[in-house]
Amino acid sequence: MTVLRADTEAPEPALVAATYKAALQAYVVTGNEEDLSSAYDCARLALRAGVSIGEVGELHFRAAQHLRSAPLARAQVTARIEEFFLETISVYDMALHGYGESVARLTAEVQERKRVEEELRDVTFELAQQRDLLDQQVKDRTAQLRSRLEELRMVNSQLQQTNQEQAQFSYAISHDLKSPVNTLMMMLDLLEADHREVLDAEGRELLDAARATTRRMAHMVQDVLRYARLVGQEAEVEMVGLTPLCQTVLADLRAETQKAGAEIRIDPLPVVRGVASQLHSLFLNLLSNAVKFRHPTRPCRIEVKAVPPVGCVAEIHVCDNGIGIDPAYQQRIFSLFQRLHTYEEYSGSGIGLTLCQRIAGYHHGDIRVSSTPGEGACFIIRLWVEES
Amino acid sequence: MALRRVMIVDDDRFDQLAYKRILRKSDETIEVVSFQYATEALDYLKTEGRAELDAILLDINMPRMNGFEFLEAACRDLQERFERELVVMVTTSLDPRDRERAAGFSQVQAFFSKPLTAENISSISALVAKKQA
Repeated sequence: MTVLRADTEAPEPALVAATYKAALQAYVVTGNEEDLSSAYDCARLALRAGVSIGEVGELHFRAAQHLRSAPLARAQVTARIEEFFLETISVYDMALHGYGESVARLTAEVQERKRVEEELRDVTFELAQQRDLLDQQVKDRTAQLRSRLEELRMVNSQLQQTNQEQAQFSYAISHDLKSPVNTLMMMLDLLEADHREVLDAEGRELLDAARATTRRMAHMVQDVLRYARLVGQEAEVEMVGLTPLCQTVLADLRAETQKAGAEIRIDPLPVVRGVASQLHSLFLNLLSNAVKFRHPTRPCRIEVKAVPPVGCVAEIHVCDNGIGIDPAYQQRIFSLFQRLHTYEEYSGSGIGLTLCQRIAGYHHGDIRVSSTPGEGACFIIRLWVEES
Repeated sequence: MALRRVMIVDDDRFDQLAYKRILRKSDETIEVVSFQYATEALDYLKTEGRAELDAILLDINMPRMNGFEFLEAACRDLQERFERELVVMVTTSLDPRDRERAAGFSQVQAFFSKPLTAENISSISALVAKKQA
């Protein structure tokens, strides 16, 4: 019996036929179990040689024909031939069966793999598309925001420049006005001192009018200068103790308060974030107003106190027992150049409270007044109001 | 001379002095009624049986009630009794919108800058004469 072990080479069909014939003959003759099992080897050899199941039948038929002519018990020979053939075919059956299953499974696997790959490709494509779209959207939005930001930046810088220019302009004008006003005042004072005697009553009246008007003008120029300086300034924010600040304000106002016989009480006040010079100006204006608009007969009492802040960092009240403000004018007093009295009654430029409002605004706050005419006024300042 | 009785509404005492001076220069006998607060001038206009006015010289920027608020209040409170008044705006305002706004009142016949001149007084007289004719 020829046993082929070279698995790598496909055997010749003739060799297959010969091997099969020899193996079959061996089994028919011996009827051994071992010889029967060589049917498997034959079948594997045939499979490797690419012999189809039909050809195996043919091959078996020829080998069997040859054996039937041998002088053996006919029935036993036929039985062994069939047994051997069945063994061979069973290998083919197994192979074919397995092969078929694998084909179906492989086909299914291949198809599944293809499907998954396709799906993956689709998903990847979709993802890529979405990513591109997202990229584009992000790019578009970024470009939009950038251009909007650019626009805002430009408007802001224009506004700042306008504001700055206006402040510089106001400053320059008032500064340049200061010197001629002072000269004028000096000349009128000289006229008054040296020539008053030679003027008649009307002349003296006119001279007094000129001096008073010039003084008013000097005050006005001074106040506009202060206002312009505040608008134009790049202020430094620091922690400011309002109690010591108000004490220095009181010191600045000493002459006025003494003249008025005013009694000013400063309660403990908080330390707040702010611009010291601005806050000084704020309290100076409010306290100076409180002294100025005192009641003609009542002793002047002024109180500065902190109240528990609600929705802001600090709330300060500056209250007086002065002449008070008619409710009809309580809004108007904060507008630029708005005054409630003639210059003979009360001096002033109509800038002070506008300045106060502006300073409160710089500190994210506000200022309002609560007053009963004839009884007094209370100015309420809130600083660092929380955004609602 | 058509101008005999004039009301001045101006918060500035010295501006008032200037008005009176220039008015008296044109005619010694002109009678002047003057107010430093427009609210007081309005009260005067409301007085029953007051003497007639030939003209009202009205400032714009004044404390409490400004010239325009005065005109609005007078139109509202006095109605036809204010319709025949002759108002002359006298102001330092350089704002063209003030001139426009003044033109919106039929009573306002002229708009002059401070200080008033003798020519201004002549034109006011002419306006008064025209109205009386």
